Amino acid sequence: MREAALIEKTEKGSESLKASDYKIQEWRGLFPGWIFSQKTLVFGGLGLFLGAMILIGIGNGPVEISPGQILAIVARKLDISIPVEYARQQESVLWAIRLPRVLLGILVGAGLALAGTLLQGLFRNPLAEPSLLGISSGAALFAVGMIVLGDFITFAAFPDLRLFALPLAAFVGGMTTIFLVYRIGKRRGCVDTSTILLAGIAVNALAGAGIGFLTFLADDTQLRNIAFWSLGSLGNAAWQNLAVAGPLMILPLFGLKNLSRRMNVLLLGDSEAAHLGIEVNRLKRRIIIIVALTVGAGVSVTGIIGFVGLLVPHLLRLTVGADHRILLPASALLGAGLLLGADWLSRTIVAPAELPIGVVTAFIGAPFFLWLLLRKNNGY
Amino acid sequence: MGIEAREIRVKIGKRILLDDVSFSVNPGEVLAVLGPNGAGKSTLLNALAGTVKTIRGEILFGGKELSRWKTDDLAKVRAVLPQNFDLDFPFKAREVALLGRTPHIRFSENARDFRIVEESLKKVEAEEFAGRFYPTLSGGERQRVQLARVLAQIWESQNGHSRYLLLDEPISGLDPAHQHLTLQTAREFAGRETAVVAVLHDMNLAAQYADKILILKNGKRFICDRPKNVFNSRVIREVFGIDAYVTKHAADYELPLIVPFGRAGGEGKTLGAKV
Repeated sequence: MREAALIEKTEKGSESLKASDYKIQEWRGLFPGWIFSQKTLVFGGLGLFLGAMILIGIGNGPVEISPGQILAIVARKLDISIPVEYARQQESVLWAIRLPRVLLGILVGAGLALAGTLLQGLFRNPLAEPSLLGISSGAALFAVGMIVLGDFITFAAFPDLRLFALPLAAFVGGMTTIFLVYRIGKRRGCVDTSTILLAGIAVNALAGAGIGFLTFLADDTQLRNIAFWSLGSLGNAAWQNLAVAGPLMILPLFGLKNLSRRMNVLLLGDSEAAHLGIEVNRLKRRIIIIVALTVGAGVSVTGIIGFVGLLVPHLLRLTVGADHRILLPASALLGAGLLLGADWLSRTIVAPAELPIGVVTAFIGAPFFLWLLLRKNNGY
Repeated sequence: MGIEAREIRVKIGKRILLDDVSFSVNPGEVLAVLGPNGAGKSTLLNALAGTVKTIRGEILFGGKELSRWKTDDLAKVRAVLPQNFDLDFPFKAREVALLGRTPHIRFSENARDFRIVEESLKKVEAEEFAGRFYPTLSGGERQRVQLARVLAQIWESQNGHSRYLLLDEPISGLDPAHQHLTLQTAREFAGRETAVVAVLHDMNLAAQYADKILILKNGKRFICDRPKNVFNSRVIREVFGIDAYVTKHAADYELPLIVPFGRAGGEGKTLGAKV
C-alpha cells in the first residue's frame, strides 16, 4: 500500500522532491530504517573514539597533560588565553614530542586502513593488504640498504640530506616495487589483478632475500636499527618528518573524491564494471597510485606496521556493509584511532622503554583476525 | 537499428574461436544463440560485449561501430548479464541491483533510480530476498539479482535510442518457472525497442521465446533463421549429435517441439531404451 502510494507520488512530482527525502521515505521499509541513524551512529562513535585516542596520546606519558591543559596550550598558540594552569615543560613536551607523534599516528593509521580498504576492493579479495603488493617490503629493502650501506653511499658529502636519507630511500623503494609489480601485471594494456597479486608475492620474497643478505652484512648497531625499523615505530615523529611525509599522504586523499561509487561497481568484476561504463584500467591505476603514495610515505617514517590495513576494513564491513561511500571514511577514522591506541600501549606497557608498535598491532591484530575468520563461517 | 555482426573473427593465441560469423538483431527481436560446448557461443557474446577483441569484421550497435562508442554512452543503452556472478562482499541484494543504475547516476542515486531498482527486482521475483546479503543467496537467487541489475541498467528509453540486452546463459541455474519468467522478461524488453541476444542450451525454450535462432558449430555459423526453419532432425543431429523427433507444439502449430531421445549413433537410440 505504502509502496504503491510512493510510486504514484514519484511519478507525479518526483523531480521537485529532494532525493534524500525519498531515500528516507522509500527505503526505510526496505533498507531497515536504522541504516540512516546507524550511519550517524557509526561516524559519531568513530569520531569520539579517535578524539579520545588523541587526548590520551597527547596527554598520557611520563609528563601528564590534562585535556584542559591541552586546550589551554593549543589556544595559547592562537593567542587565546584560557584560565588553566600548565607548566612550561608540559608545553614543550606537547609541541616537540606528543603532537607530532599523534599527527603522524593519525596520518599513518588512516593511510594504512584506507590503503587496505582500497586494495581489498581492487583485488576483490577481503584478504588483500598493503604488504601483499610488496610496497612495504620494497620500502623496507631500500631502508635497510640505507642503514647498512648508508656510509658508503655519497651522503657523507651531503650531511644535510642525512636526516631524510632513510625516509627517502624507503619511499623510493616502495614506489619502485609498486611500479615494477604493476608493470608485470599489466598485459596487453589490461591490468590483470591476479598476475599483480602473484608478482607481489614474488617481489616480497625477493625483497626478503635482499633484506636477509643485508642483515648478514650489518654490524651490531645497524642490526638494532634494522630490527626496530622493520617492526615499526612512531618514535621518529618530528615536525621535519611530517613536513616531508605529510603532504605525500594527504595529497592522495583528494584522489578519493568520487572514487567510492566506482569502487562499489568494481567489486562486481572487471568486465561487469566496464559494461556499466567504468574506465576500469584508469580506475585501477588511480587506486594503485593512491595506495603507493600513502603507504610509501607512511612506511618511510614509521617502518612496517602490519594488520591495520587488514583488520580495519574487515571490522567495518561487519558493521556498516560493503558500500565504499561509508567504508572509506569510516576506515580512515578507525585506522587512525586504532594506531594511536596501539602507539599508546607500545609506550606504556614497558615504560620507560618502548615496544615496537608493529609488535603491538600484530599481538592484538592476529588473534582478533583469526576470531573474525572463524566467526565468518557462520555467514554475514 | 539493432545489433549487427559482419563477418567477425576472433582469435585467441593460435586458436580461431569464431570465424566469419554474421547476423543481425533488430530492436523488438530476441536472438537465441545455440550450439554444443566450445562452439563459440560465449566468445560471440563476449565479442558483442567488447571484452574480447575481434581481429576481423565489424560489430555495430545502432549502426555505430563498437569501438567508436564511448564507454559510458554505451553503458546507458547496452547491458550484459555475465555468466559469473561471484561477489564476496556483504552487499545487500538490493544494493547489487542498484549498481545497475551506475551509468545514469551523476552524483548520487535519486528516487527514480530506487523506484526502477524496486520494479526490476519485482520483475524477477527477487523482492522477498532483496534485503538479504548477496553472498548468502543461492545460485539461482544470485542469478536473478544480477538479472535485476542488468534490467535496471536499461530500464528506460534514452531519447528513443534502441537498447541492447546481452544474456550469457541467463537460465542455466534457474528452476523451470524462473526460466520461463526470465525469457518472458527478455521478450517483454524486446517489446520495448530492445534487441536481445541470449545464449541458451534448451532448444524448446529457444524455439518458444526467440524470433531467430543462430546455431554455431566449431566457431562458424551453421544456420541462422526462424525457429521453425532451424529445428529439424537433420540439423539437430549434425550440430548436437543427438537423435531427436521434431513435431508441432500442441499449443501452437507454428512452434516446433523437439523431443530428443539419445546420442546419434549411440546406444539407447529408441524411446524404449530404459525398459
